[in-house]
Amino acid sequence: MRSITEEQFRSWSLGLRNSDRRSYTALFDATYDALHRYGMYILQDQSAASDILQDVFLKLWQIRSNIDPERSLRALMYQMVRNYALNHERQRRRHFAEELEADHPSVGFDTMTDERLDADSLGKHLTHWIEEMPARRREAFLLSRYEGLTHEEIAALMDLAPKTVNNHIVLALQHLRQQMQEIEDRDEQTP
Amino acid sequence: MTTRRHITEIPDGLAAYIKEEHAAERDALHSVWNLCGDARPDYSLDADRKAGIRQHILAVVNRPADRPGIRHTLRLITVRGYAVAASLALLVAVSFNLAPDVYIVRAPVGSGSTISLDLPDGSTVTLAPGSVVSFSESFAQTRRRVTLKGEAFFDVSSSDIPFVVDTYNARITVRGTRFSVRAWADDIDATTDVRVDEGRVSVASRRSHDWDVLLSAGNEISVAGAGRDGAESTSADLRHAFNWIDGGYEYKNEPIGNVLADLKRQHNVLIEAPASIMFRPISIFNQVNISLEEVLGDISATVGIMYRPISGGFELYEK
Repeated sequence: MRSITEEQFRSWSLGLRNSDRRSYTALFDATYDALHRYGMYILQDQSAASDILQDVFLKLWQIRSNIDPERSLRALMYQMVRNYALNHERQRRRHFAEELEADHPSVGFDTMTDERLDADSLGKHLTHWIEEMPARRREAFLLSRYEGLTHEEIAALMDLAPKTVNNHIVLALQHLRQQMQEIEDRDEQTP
Repeated sequence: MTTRRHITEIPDGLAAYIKEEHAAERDALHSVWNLCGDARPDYSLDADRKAGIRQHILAVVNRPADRPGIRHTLRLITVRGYAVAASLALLVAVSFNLAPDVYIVRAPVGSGSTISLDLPDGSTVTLAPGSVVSFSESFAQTRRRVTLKGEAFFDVSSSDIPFVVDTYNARITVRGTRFSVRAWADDIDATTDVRVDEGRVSVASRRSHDWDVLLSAGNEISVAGAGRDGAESTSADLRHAFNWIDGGYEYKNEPIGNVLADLKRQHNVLIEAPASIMFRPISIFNQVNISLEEVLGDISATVGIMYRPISGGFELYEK
C-alpha cells in the first residue's frame, strides 16, 4: 500500500463519507492484498485472515459517515485489521486453548537443519525463522521489511514507542543472523 | 495492491542503530536485511475467496436498506427464556468503534432450565445452562457462523449460506436442519457429540483436515478431544437424546463426573464425589423435569452408591 498516495486515500475517504460505492470498490481492489498479508502476519491462518478482511470492509462501510478525511485512511485500515485479528486470536485462545497448541507445533523443521546452508535452502530457513519469531517481533519486522512502514507508522499501529519498534527489528535481525551462524558452524564441523 | 515490493533500504532508525555497531556487526545485519528480501513468508491469498468476499461485501453495500447509522443491534435477537427470562445473563461485548462487535449469549448457571434465542437469519438456538454461544455482528449477511462452548440444540433455517458451528475441536456445517451439539472441553474423555434430529449435517475435526462425515437424521457422532482418530458414527436411538431441552436428561455410557458437571451447571450447587465414582460410566434417562435430589437418587440407585447433603450441596460416596 506504500505506492498509494495519501491524497488517493483522502479521496476515497471523501467518497466513503458520501456513500460512493465506486470509491469503496476501488479501495477494496487497491488494498485487499496488502491488508490480507498483514492479517496473515498476525494470524498465520489463510481462512481467518480472509474472514477478518471481510468483516473489516463491512465495518468500514458501516462507519463510513464517521470517517475523517483529514486522518489517514491507510492507518485506519491497518488498525482495523490489527484489532480484528487480535480479537480473533483472543477468541481462539478463550474457546480453543487446546487447539492452539495443536496448531502451532514446535516440531517439523528439524529435518531442514540437516541441510547445508546453500542458496536454495537459505531462503526457506529464513522464512521459517521469521514465522517462528515471537508474534510482536514478527509483526514489526514484517511490516518494516516487506510493507515498508516506517518505525513511526509501526509504533502508532502497535501502540509502541518507535525505539521499541527498532528494538524488535534489531532483535529480529540478530536472531536471524544467529540462526544462520549456527548452521554455518555445524556445516564446518561436518566432514 | 497486487505487486510485491522489495524494500531494499534499511529504515532510518535501524540505520542509525547499525551505524553505531562494529563494522563486522554492521555488515552482518546489513547482509541479513538484504538476504531477507527473498525470504518473505508465502502469504499468497486465495483468489477465489477474495472474489467471493468482494461479491459479498458489494452485495451488502448495494442493499437498499443499508443506510448510514443503521446498525445491527440486539433487537435482532429475540431471547425466550423458559421460566428464567428475568435472570437471563445476556452479555454483549461491544468494544470500541473500530473493533468487531461480537454477540455473546450465555445461558445462566443455576436456573435449572434452558434458554432459546432467535438468530438474525431465523434460526433458533436452545442453550443448556452455562453454555455460551457467540457470533459476529455480520452474522447472516455473508456467512452464518457461531462458536459454541457447552450444549445446544439448533433449528437452522434453510439458506444457501452454510450455517457453521465451531466447537473447541469440531466444525459442524449445515444448510437447514435440526441437530444438537454437546462440547464441554473440560468433560471427562471430552468429545464433541453431534446428534441429528432432522436433515443432514457435515461434521469435521478442527484439528485434522483428513476427514469429515455426513450424518443423516437419527445418527450421532463423537469427535474425540484428540480429534484425529477418535471419530465414530453410529445409527442411534435418539428418542431421548433431546430430553434436556425440556428439563429431562439422557446419558449413555457417560462418566458420572460429566453428569454431575451438568447438574452443577443446572443447579449451581456443590456436588462432590471421589474419582472412583466420577469415572464410572452410567446410562440413564428421564423425560421430565425432576428435582436435583431425585436425579441424585436415580444415579445412586443405578450404580449402587449413596448420596448425602453437605454444606453448599451434596456428596456422592461408596456404600
